[in-house]
Amino acid sequence: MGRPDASPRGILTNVKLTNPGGRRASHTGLARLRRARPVMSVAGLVVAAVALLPLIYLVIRASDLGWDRVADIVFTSRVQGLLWRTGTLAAAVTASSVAIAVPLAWLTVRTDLPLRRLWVVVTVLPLAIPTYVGGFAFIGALGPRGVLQDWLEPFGVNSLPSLYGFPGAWLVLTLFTYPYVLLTVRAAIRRLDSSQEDASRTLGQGRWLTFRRVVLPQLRPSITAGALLVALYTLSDFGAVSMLRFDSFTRAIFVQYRASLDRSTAAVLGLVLVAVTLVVLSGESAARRSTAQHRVHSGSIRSTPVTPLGRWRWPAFAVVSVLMLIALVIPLAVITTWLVRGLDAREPLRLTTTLIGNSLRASAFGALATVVAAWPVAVLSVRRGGWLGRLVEGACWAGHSLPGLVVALSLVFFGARVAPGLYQTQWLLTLAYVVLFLPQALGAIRASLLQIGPRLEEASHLLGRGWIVTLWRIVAPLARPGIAAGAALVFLTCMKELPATLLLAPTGYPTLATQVWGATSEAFFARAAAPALALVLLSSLPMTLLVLQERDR
Amino acid sequence: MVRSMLSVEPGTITVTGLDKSFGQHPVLRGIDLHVAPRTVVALLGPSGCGKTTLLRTIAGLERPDHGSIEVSGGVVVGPSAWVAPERRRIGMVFQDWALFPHLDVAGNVGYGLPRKQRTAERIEAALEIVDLGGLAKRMPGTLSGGQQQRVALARAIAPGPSVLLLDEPFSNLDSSLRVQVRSEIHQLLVEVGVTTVFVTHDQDEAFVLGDEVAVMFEGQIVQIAKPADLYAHPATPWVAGFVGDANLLDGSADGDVARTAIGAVPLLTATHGAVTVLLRPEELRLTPGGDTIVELIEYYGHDTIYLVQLAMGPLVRVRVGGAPQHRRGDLVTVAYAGPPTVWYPERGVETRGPRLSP
Repeated sequence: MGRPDASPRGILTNVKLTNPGGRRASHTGLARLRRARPVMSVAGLVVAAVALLPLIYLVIRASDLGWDRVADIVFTSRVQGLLWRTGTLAAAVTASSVAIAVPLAWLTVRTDLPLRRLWVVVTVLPLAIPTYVGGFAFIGALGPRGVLQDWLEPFGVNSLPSLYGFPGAWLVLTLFTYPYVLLTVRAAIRRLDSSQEDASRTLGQGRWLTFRRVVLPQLRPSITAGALLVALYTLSDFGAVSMLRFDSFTRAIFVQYRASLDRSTAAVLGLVLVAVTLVVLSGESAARRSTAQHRVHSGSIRSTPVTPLGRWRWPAFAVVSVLMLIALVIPLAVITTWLVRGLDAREPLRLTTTLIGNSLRASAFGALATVVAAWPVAVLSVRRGGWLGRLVEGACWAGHSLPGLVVALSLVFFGARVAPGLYQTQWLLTLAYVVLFLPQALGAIRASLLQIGPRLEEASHLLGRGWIVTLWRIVAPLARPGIAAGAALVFLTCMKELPATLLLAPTGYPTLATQVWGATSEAFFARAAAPALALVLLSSLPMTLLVLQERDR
Repeated sequence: MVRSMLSVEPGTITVTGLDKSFGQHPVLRGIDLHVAPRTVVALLGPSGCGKTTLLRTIAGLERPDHGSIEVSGGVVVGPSAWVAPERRRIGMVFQDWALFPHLDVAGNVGYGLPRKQRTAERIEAALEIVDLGGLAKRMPGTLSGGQQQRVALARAIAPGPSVLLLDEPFSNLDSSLRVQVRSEIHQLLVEVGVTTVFVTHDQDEAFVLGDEVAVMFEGQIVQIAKPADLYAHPATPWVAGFVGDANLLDGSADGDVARTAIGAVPLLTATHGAVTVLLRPEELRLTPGGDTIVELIEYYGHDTIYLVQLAMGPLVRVRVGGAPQHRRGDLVTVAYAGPPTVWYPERGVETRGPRLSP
């Protein structure tokens, strides 16, 4: 679990990352006034240093071992096995997500699928279920002592095929991450120029050939972008693979960290995982470069045409319904069943309110700190640009390629060795949230600053106001929607974050996320139900808003 | 030389009683149209008159509510017939050209060719026709507007369609480029000899390229004629104004002459009573002295337009070759010096639609 998390805006910020160089201001006059003040530059550099701290400290920690030891750890059959299993899982989840999401995107945008407008929203909602909650739901349904076995017991069925291991991890991760691909592909389909399809038809190509030769090649960049999100997510996922006992990198790192005193080995494994992440990222950017496309003509895009499905209309409806049954209805029903069982067994709900309080507090600190840290970075990158702006902003995107577990691990070492005053306090957890979710806040604040434009600030300066007054009276009020959106997003993502919270939260400070994980891994399913349901409800709100906004566009 | 490589068998188009509505809104109302082999027909009309819908219906990209269309003798749409667009052998150039951004020029041009014919020679031949030889490996986005236009044309004619459709082919070009590209395309259409229908809202374009011009308004073809006939004998006052500068003067007819505010005007056909006559500005002459005031002078280089205020009557536009010979405020006399002209029963009855200011 962790880094990109099942956050709605995570998609947007990440897509922004893959399309760099948005609007570059090209103003000449009054450039002097626009230049960010040294205070901002210093603050930005501090934030950049903080963002890179976990990675740097991990390298320092690993190099303490000496390179021979590091090589001994890395080049073993165990690490090879981990690489193989994690890579296979990432590839399988990515492939199945694409296979589900591309037809689904086409059906919900371009066809007369019954209830199409409803499906547009509903098909994205599985993203609101954190994968460890999804994992809990499937274990609770299909696992030993699960709901399904309860039902089947009277018929003499005493054991079900095991969900644990690769099949379970594959199923759960696919069901709850395919919307990443769905969202990016759907946006690309909406941007398609349908007169190209008309042109293809007049050139003698039927519907299928037109799709294969004209539409699909143009969807490829968006499919790649969505697939990248899914692959990175799978690599960094901790909750689902741990619950489903699939021995991937994150689980191995965690076990190593918990089980032995030799923490340097965990640090080395963490670095190997970061390296894998970077390989995936560079592979994606190479693929993107080779399929460079030119927008031919900004011709008027006709309203989205609708393809009649004919006699396939109701079969398609049935397939979509079954998919949503598996990805949404069954998990929620299972969790609710366990909740009822728990209530029958007089499981105390009081516990859940404590958990919500803890989660709220930790998330509020995280959101506040992240927004404060993102502000100077956004100002620098929008108003100043240049090498400093790019450097600082680039450093802050690091959080996107660092698995949450790796960041947490590094900060544990850092706290224990360098800053014992911070260790086992809320501060270190907050620091982890800042590193992990800075890109989300940055994306939102940056977008709102770009909309303000430099003219208003220039006018304020010409009216005799200094930069502090201008910031306080002009920029901050106008950027408030972006700041609020960024804060809300980070807040909700912190609520769902699992590995960093698990490792860094002070002792005796359980949250919703850690409770779901802890209770599930000890098979106290009833105790996990209430916090799991609370998490799903909290994250589906912003998700619905996001999808409605997408449709308006 | 190269052009012989392109096998084009000129086809015909016959449209009969075509109706088409989008929801409650009728866009085509009883369209009849026949296009003979090797002719170029321009569909001319203001935006929203249904001309693009007619073109898309011929291509098979829209289905009509009623009526039928035959292409080269075969019914492609009718009460019991439907031929999919990919089987109609109709080439089309789209308004935004719709080049495939992920394919290079060769990929675009070869797209509609059967796999066996998708050879470098065949593609190069099509590119030679539009004078784009050697650009096969370029991506469409790196070409100029005029070049993209010609790639779109090469792509449409490469499979050897029997009929070519062009949707506002020049509207996306800079005005400086438009005249040049228009001449090139004109020459090409003449040489290839393909039956062509194209849509435009520009009267110049329709007259220059069209062997015949069909004027459309509110989903109907108001008049179809050769450009010179259309200009001299427009069917309605609205058409008269749409296809060029028009002075429409009220008068009183007596046989084949009408008396108007500028004096006697010969009529094409005899009639009696109140009429409105069409006087093209270039058929009017100005002489110094009189009771008509020169209100405004517009100098265009090759000629000059005078706006003159008749003593009893409206403003009249007069076109005279060369530089201005009068000044604002001069008193002049206007007289008609053209051939017998058309008349309309009564002013305003058939002036449906906007009278476009020139």
